[in-house]
Amino acid sequence: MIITKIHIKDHQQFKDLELDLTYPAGHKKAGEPLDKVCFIGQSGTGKTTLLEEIIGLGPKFRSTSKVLKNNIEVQYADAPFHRAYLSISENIPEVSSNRFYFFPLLLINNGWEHLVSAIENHQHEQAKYAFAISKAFRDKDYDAANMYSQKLKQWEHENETPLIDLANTYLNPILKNFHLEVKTELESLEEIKQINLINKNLEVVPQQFWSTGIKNIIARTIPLYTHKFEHSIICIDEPETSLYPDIQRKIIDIYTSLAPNNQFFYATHSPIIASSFEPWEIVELKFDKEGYVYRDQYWEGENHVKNYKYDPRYLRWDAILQNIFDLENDGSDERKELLQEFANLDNKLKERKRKGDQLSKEDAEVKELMDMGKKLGWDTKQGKA
Amino acid sequence: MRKIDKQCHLSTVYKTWESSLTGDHPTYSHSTTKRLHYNSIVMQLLFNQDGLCAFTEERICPKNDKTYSDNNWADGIYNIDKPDISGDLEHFNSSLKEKQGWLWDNFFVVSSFINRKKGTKEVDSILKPDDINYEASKMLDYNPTTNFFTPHTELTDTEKDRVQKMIDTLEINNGLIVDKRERFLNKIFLLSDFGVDLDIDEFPTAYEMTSILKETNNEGSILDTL
Repeated sequence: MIITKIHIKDHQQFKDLELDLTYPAGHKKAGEPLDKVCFIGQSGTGKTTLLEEIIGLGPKFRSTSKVLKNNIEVQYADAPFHRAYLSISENIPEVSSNRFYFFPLLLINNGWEHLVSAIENHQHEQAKYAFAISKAFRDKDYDAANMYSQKLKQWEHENETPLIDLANTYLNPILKNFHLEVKTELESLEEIKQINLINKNLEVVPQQFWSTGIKNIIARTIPLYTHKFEHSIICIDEPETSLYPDIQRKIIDIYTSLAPNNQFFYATHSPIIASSFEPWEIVELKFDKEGYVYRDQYWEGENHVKNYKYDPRYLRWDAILQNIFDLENDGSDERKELLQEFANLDNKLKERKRKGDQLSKEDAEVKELMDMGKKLGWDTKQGKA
Repeated sequence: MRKIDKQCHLSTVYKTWESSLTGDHPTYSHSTTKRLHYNSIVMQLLFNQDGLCAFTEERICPKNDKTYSDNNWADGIYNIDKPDISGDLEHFNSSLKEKQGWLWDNFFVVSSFINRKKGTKEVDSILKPDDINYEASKMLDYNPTTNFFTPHTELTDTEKDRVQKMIDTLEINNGLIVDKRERFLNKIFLLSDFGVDLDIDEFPTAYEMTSILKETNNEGSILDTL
């Protein structure tokens, strides 16, 4: 894990932004660089800019603190081996390094060629055993044929094809939500040219019929799987793009498990994505009164795990939206107006009761209150959410 | 929203100066005036408001007796650095800001967020925290089911409309405030059930009104009783 601190002075909307990217006191990894960082904030606060600055920092990484271009100072715990940027845009950032990988949300050239090579090697190894078995049969050396056959089984047991591993471990658990799975039994050389998905009837679904969400998952999962990044920086912009909430909930864990020993930087607008992060891993960017960007501090007093106000992993979605994404209300403006009407009528009915009115469910105002409660999605028996 | 006693016994240099003003005030942005009086006004008001936002009762200044200590005042001026607060000096009636920008009667300290939300909206003194006729218990009710304040049920319909408009203008039922208020009261009452009494250092009006409702077993919605 790599970057421990970023300090940007007088660059675009950043007047003096200092980000400590280490685990806080009280954490079992206190002082170590964060495994993953999630930038959140209003559009224009510079989340994507930060990702691109991180990915494009200077021609060389140094193990010591160094002022680099654009008034950005970065401190490293160790130099990263590679930098990978999984972007939603097709515009390649200006990065002068042969250790830089750019993966836009396109399916071509996103790492499949590495998998093809691995599959071919696998098939080559398999062919060696098949040839030996075949030769043994031709020589009527059945003991040898049996031995090679056992060896092939053992080898296959120990060397799952990369495509099956990718499919079973990472992609199929998600694709089953779409009633699809990766075709792992290749029937022709043509089928190795690209990843194929099959439906419940085992029919191949052409890529032009894949949803944007499926393309997103495939385009990001394959390069992370095939490049086997180690000790590298991986930036992913808007990991939630075109993904339904249930998939968003899982996607960060999947990316982390695909490339475990790396430092991830994400930029997101999604509260569901944010719920996959520890509070110290979230960097919320906000505009100050002068339009410069600062980090909203989640801790009070000492930067210690016990002093953090919110932990998105344990909050309800509406609480994440209100407390972390700063949405003012727990629903629409219409909901807020109805809540006020409910409160006013509820108090009025209490007053009527206090004055001796016998209230029943047939009372027009009680009925009105019950209707409001129903619209608010409340269990009217409880009278509460 | 509690009634606020607007005494100005600490910031006496400012008050003497303000009382002597005739005609138009120096502009509110006038740097010398601001440098001389701003901190004293804010700290006097925070003393009067117990460190709470004047409208929402959210805590905006740490509860620390030292902050308000007489030792921090010298000859009617707050003489140490203002503590780090999440509040701003607010002109209740923004239309007075241009010509009477330093009017004591028009000042409160409120949360920066609420100050920004309220902006220059028109106000009505029916819900002005220091108005001679203002009493929280006569103007407002609390509804623990929604954690919303409502116009008091015994007001006339016209008064209810005026109070409701001001509840909205002063952001008393802003969603973020409602959320904080709900969490605070839930914590206080939960611990109270276990015999732990905490300081009511935020949202005292909501706490007092809910306590009264609890005493009469009336804190739930009327629908609970049917």
